Amino acid sequence: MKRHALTALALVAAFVIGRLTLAADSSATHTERVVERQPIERRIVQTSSSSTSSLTADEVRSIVNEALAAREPAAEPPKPVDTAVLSQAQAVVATSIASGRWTAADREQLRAVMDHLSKDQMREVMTSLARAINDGRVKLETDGSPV
Amino acid sequence: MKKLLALTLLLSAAGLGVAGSKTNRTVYISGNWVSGSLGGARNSGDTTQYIGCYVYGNEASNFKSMYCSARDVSGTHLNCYSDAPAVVDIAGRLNSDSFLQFTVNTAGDCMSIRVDNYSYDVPKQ
Repeated sequence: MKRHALTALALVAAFVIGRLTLAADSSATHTERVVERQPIERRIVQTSSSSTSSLTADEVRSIVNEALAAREPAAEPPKPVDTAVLSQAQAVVATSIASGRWTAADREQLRAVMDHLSKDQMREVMTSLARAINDGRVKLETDGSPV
Repeated sequence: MKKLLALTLLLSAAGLGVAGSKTNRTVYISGNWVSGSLGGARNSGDTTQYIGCYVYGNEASNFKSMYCSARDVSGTHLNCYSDAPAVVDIAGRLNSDSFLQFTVNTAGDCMSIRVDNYSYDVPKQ
């Protein structure tokens, strides 16, 4: 009888110890994390027109212009247009149109002044010659290209 | 033996003759339009036709330009000038065997230019 009582007591003790152990484990697995956010302090910056700068508009403009000038190389001044060269080239073409012939000598005269013509002058001379040839006002007497 | 040799030479020549497509485009002018290959003009049987362009650059005045000129077998000329980079740059693609086509307006300006570099345009001989 005493033996049965001890056995029952042992069973009850084992049950109680098991419950207590289980309760301790389950509390360990459910850890709660509490995250606290720090409130961000918002700063409001107030400026008044009198406190932004003491520079005038002209001074700011001057600074900007100086900065731009430092970045970009100065543009070359346009070359002076040599009107004498243009007159010479135009005369060669005009004379040939008047005579109705474009000779090798005319071509050489034009080639001699070509390098001194500006872009616009070159266009004027070359297109006038091309027009005269295309229209048949000038007969080509050159071997190959007229220019 | 001689017949066999002649036959061999004939077949060899025929073989050379079909080695790829070949086109002989001589100078053709129609109104404000001209076309022709440099090789076709050069190899033509007459001594009249020609076609081509020069491309010019001037460092001092900072511009480039071109002048194209052509004459067909009948002696008709077509010439034009341009300093437009879009046109001048194409003219720079010409080589000695190119096919060239350009159009001209009444002011003497080159309005368009086309350069073909194909295997079938006959080279200068």
